[in-house]
Amino acid sequence: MPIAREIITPKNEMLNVSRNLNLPHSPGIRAGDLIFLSGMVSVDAATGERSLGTVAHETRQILSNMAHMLESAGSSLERVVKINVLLYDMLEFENMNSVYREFFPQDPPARTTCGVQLSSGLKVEIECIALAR
Amino acid sequence: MKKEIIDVPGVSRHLKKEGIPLSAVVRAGGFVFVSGQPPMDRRTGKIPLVGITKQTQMVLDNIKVCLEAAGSSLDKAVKCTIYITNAAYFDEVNDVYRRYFRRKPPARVFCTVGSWPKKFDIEIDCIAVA
Repeated sequence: MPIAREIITPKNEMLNVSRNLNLPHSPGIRAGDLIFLSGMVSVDAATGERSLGTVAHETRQILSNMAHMLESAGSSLERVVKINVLLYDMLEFENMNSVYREFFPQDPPARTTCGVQLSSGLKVEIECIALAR
Repeated sequence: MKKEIIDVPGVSRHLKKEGIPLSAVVRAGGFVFVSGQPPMDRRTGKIPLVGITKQTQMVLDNIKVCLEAAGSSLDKAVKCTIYITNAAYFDEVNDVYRRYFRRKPPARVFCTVGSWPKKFDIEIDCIAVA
């Protein structure tokens, strides 16, 4: 019996960035017990526009939106098992961590952080794998 | 479905001491997820200034310890991502890497990244069957 593959979409359609910007990826996929979310960048949940700012601001916006995305699929931040953080400059590592800690106060997921070049002046991108239920 | 945080001897306590908000290893949904491992000395928690060959070896030793702490092993790895500060280290990394994954190596990504806020050149993370 093959594992079913199901597209995850946010309840707030403003956050369906891949559809709104006509990008060739899904916001997320559920496969069996796991949910795989695409890399998320800072988007204003009210307007759907990219919300550029400090690393702290972008991190907070992304993780708030990630919580919504997971909750739309019946999961939650507490059920995240692995995170990848892509940062435009690793010198901002602590600025990201200080906000990140607020969202994962205990038993945080496994995580990898690396410095990369992001498009459109964005400073942070975060992707995750979570338990579906 | 349960999410379990695995305490890894010589790894978890150093992370806690540094106050970095991540778990070294999480087991969930039949898989083991290992955070990106730097070339850290598990005894001291320090990252020594050594060449890329030795760094790669230390990273993979740490991955091995992390997987085994969760009851898994290198043989059960399904996906590794190698993060490297200089793509020219490709051959040196592979020479070490293939000694740890002799048969049926996992799927892999090798990507060049900016440097970390400490003096080292490589991290590897891993997903394995529990």
